[in-house]
Amino acid sequence: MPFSIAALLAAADEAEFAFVRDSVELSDSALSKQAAALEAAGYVKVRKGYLGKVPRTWLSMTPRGRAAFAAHLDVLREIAG
Amino acid sequence: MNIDGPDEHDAEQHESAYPGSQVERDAAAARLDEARGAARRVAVEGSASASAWLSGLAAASAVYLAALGWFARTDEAEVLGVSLVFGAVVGVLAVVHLRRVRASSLGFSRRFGIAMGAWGACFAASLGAGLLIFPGSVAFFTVAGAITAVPPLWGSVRELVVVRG
Repeated sequence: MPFSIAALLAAADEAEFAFVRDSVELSDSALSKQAAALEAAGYVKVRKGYLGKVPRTWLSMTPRGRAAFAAHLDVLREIAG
Repeated sequence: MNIDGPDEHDAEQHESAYPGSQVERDAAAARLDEARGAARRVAVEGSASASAWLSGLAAASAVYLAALGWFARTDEAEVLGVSLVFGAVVGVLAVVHLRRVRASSLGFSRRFGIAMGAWGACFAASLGAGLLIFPGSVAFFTVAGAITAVPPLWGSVRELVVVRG
């Protein structure tokens, strides 16, 4: 599941929490845990803001996260041949 | 073994000697497909709304600037009225389209910033030159409106065509 989340965020400047949740089909709490773990590892940044009066949470990948994911994709390409 | 080189039988023997290798290759290919699919989902999510916003802005600013050409410098109330309508239209466009964006594709902020910056520069120059030097000039404001529409239209097309692939 971290791969699915990372794949989405690697392709985005920023993605709303609800979009990531719907895309990877996780519950709010499950995604929160995954995002917290990725944030603790320094791969993801979590930004909380408001759209009007409605609170929103945005996820984005850090440069370290992008480099790690790109390296992971390189390994996958080597294996896939 | 075929002394002329490996043949199908050798390949089959190689595969059976490493039963996990095809599975690993398939799993890696599936992951790569998943990554590509994720990139497309992000592109589709953000590009449609951003493209609509930029197209709407292009049209609204072109019409607004063209309308200004019909007023003299002394028609302050009319100019104010048209300006308020333009502001309201842009506000509605922003609420309808930009609030719906739940993900922006990689590099979108830079592309959007360039399009909006170029639009802003053209818009400001058109207003300044038109109101100060060419007030009431239908020809000037119509041409200025068309030129001002180019940056957001280009941004719109870029979001749709380039991002969607």
